[in-house]
Amino acid sequence: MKTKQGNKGHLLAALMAAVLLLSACGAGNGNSNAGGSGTGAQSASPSASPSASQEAQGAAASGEASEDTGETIYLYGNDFVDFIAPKFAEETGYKIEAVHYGGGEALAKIEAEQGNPQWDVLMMDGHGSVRSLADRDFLLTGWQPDNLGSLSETGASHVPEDLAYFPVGIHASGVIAYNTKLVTDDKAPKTWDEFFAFEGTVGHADPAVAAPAYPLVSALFEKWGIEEAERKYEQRFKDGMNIYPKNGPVGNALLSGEIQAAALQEHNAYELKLSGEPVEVIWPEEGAPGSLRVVAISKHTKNPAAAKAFVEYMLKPETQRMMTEIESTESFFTPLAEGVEGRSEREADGKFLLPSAEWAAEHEVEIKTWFADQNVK
Amino acid sequence: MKASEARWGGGVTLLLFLFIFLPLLAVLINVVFPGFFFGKFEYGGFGLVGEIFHRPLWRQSLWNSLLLALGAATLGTVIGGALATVRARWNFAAGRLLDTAAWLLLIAPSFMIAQGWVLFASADGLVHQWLGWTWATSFIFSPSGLVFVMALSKFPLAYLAIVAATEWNVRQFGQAARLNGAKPFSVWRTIELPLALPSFLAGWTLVFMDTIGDFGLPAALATVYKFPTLTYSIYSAIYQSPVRFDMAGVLAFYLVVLLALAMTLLLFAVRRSRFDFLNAKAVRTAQEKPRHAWAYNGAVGAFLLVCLGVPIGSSAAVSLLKRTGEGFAANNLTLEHYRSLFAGVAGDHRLLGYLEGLYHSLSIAAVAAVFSMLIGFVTAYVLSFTESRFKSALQLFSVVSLAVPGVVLGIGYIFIWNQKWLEPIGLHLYGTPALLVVAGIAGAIPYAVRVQMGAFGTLSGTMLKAAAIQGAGVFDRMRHIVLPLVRQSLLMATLASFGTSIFDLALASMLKPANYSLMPLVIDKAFEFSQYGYATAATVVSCAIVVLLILALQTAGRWLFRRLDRNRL
Repeated sequence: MKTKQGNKGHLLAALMAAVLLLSACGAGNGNSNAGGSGTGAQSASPSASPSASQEAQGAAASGEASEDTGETIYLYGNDFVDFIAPKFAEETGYKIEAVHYGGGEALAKIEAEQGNPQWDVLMMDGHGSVRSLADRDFLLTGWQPDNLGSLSETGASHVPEDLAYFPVGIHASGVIAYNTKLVTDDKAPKTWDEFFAFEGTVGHADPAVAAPAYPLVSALFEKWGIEEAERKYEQRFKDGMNIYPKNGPVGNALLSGEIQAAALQEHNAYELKLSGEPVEVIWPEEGAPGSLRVVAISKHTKNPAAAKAFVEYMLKPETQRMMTEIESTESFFTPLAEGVEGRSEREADGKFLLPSAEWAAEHEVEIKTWFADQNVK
Repeated sequence: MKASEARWGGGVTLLLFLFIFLPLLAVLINVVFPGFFFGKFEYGGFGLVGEIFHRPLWRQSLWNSLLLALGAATLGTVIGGALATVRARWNFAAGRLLDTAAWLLLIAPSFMIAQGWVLFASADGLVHQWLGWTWATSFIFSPSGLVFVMALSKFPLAYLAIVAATEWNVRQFGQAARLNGAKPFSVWRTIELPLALPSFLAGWTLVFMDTIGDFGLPAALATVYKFPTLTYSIYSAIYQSPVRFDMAGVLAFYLVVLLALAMTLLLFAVRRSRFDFLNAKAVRTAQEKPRHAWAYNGAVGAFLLVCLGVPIGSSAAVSLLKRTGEGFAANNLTLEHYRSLFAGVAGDHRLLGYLEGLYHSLSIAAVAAVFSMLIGFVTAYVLSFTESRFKSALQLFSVVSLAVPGVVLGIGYIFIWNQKWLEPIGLHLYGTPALLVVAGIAGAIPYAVRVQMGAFGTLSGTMLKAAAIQGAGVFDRMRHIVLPLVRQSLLMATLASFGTSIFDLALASMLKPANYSLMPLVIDKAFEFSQYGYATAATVVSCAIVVLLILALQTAGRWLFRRLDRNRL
C-alpha cells in the first residue's frame, strides 16, 4: 500500500513542481508583479477611506521615491501606450510596462482585478467610463499635479473637481465617412440628422465593445434626448444599419460596399482617405461626437511616486507635441496642453459634441443595454 | 485494496475540485453574492436568474446556442458515423487521409476554421471575387449555414469516438447471426448498431457539448455577422463597461445546466445500452479492400475538399496575396507575410510577436497535455472499475468539467487566483504563465476523461477482478491490464489535449500575463485589426507545426507499442 501512495505522491509532487517552476520562470521574465512588501496601509476593500499616508502624499509634492517599492509600474490603456511608455522610462528612469488593451478589455481587467489591482496608471478614451470607476472608488483622488497649469482652457474645463483623472487629448469618435464610388458628394449626409435619414445602409462600431463607440452613441443620445434618440435609432435599424464590433471592420465594410456611409472614428476615416481609398470625410458643422482621453492613477498603487510622475509627463506640452508628430494615425487628436497644435490634415477647428462625464457615467448601463437589445431584433 | 483505491480516488477528486469545480463555484457564488471575491459581502438574491427571459439579447443567445448545438451535433454525428463505418470496414487510399484530416480538424480550433470561412464567404471574400457566387454569402451567414460550418468542423469528435469503438473486432456475433440466416442489413440493425450505439451517442454528446461551449465561431463571425450565442454573451458581459460579472455568472449557469443535461442523457443512454462485449475473444479488426475503391476515394476526397479545403485553403490563399482583392496574379503573390512572422515586429500592438507566442503556447500545451492525460486516466479508472467513496463526487466533477467552457473557467480563475492572501505563500498565480498551465490542464481534462471513458466503456471488469484476487494492487492493475488495452486511445487523448489546449483562445485572452504573447492571441489580434495576411500566415504555420508534431508523436507511439508487444511475447 505504501508504494501506491508513493506513486500518487509523485504525481502530485511533479504537478506542483511544474506549476512552481513555471511561476518562477514567469518571475524571471518580470511578468510576475506580485510584490512581497506592499505599503501595507492599503485596505483590500474599495470602500475604505483613503489611508493617512495617501492623504499626506496628496499634500506633498510628487516624486517621493522613498514611498515606492521601486518595482515596474503597469500602464493599462488603448492607443499610444506602447509608444509612450519607453519614452517615459527614458526620461524619468522609472520602470514602466505598457499593456495595450481594447477599451472594454482594459475596463474589464480593472474590474476583474479589483480585489487585488495589478495596474498603476490607466490611460484611455471615454471619460464617462473612467468617471464611473472614480465614483466606485477605484481611483486616487485629491492630488494636484504640478503641470495642471499647462492645460489649455478647454483642457482645464474637463478636469473633474475631485481630481480623479486628468484630460490629455480629445478626438472625434465619429465623423461621417462615405464611399465615393457609391455616394455622390451632393447625396452624402452632412449632418447627423441627414445621416440618420440617409437612404442607403449605414454603420458604426458597437458601444459594448469599442472604446470610442460609447462616446459616439452617448453624444447623440445627449444631443437629441434619450427618447428621441431611441426613436431615431429604431427607425435607422429598420432602414438599414449594421453594427460592427470595432472601427476597423466598419472601415472594411465601407470599402466593400456593405455600407455606404459610416459614423467612423477619425483615425480610421483619415487613414482610409490618406491611403488613397475611395473615402471622403465630413466633419459635421454641429460637431462630431468627442472622445476624451484621460489618465488616472489606481487608488491602490504601490508606487505612487512613479504613477504621479507619469501623469505629470502626460500633461507636459512637449509630450503632447511628440504625440501629434508620430507616424501612426493615432496622432489625429486635439491636444489639451496649451500651445500645442493638432495635425494639419484634420479639420482645423472642428467642434466636438461631448456629454458631461457625469451624464455619460449615469446613463452608461441603460444606453448600452438598450443598444445591445435593439441590435439582435 | 479499498484504502489505496480511496487514496487514488481522493487525489484526483481533489485536483478536479481545485482546477475545475472551485472556479465554477466562484462564478456561481458571484451571482448571489456579487463582490464576494473583492472583499465585500452582500447578498444579491436570485432575481438575476430570471432575467434571461426578459432581455432580448440573452434570450436570443440562449436560442442561438441551442439551435447551433443541436443542429451541429446531429449533422456532425451523421457525417462522422457514416465516415467511421466506411473507414472501419474498408481499406481504401483516402482512409488514411481521412484520419489525418480528422486530426487536423480536431486541433484546428473553431476560430481558425470560422476565420477561413469568413475569408471565403464574406461579402468581400474570395468566393465573391473569384467565382461571383453571391448565394454562398447568404447561405453561410444564416443559422443553417452556421450549423453546416460547425458540423463540418466538429464531426471529427463523433468520427473518432465511433472509430475508436471499432478497434476491436467482435464479428463473431455477426457471423453467428449470418449463419442463422440474417441478411446483412438485419445484422447491422440488430447487432452492430446496438453495439455501436454508445459510441454514436458519445459522439453526438461530444459534438453538442463542444459546440455549445464554443467561443471561437461567434468570436470570428463577430466582424461580419451578428449571431450572439451564450458563450459570446458571457464574453461580452465581461468585456463591457460597466462589467457584468454577475450576469456572466448567470449565463454561465444556464450553459452549465444545458451541458449537464446533455451529460446526464449520455450517461443514461450508455448505461441502458451497455454490453460488455469486449472480452478475451476479441481480435483486432482487419479491413477489407472494397470493390469500388475509386468511388470511396472520390467521395471522401470531395468531402474533405469542402470541410478542410475551403477554410484552410482560403487562409492559405490569403496568406500568399499582397492584396486580397486582386486574386492570383503573378504580381500579387508574396511571401512577405511569412517573412514578417519570423522577422519579429516591434511596437505594433496589432502584430504580436509570433515566435515568442508559438514557443509559449507549445510549452504550456505540452505540460498541460501530459498532466491532463494522467489525471484523466486515473479518473476514468476510478469511475469505471472501483467502488471508491469519492466516486459520486468524482462523477459530479468530471461531468461538470465537461460543462465548463474556457470563458467561464477564465473568470473563475481570476476570482480565485488573484487573492491578496496568496502573495506571501507564493501562490498568487494570476498574471503568471503558471496559471495558464493550470487552466490548460483544466481545459484538457474533459477531452482526456471523455476519450478514456469511451475506451473504458467497452472493457469488462472481470479481468481486473481476476487480477485483484491474484493480489495485484491498483497501480499494477492500471499498468498491466487497462493501459495496454486502452493505450491507443490514451495516446489519442493526450495528443487531442495537446492540440486543443494549444489553440485555446478563450483562456488565453482571459488569463494571459501582461504583454505575454500566445499563439492564438497573435492570430486573433491580427484578424481583429484586419491584418489578414499576418493572421493567415500565422494560422498556416501553426497548423503545420502542430500537425507534424502530432503525427510524429503518433508514429513514435505506435512503434513503441509494437516493441512493447514484441518484448512481451
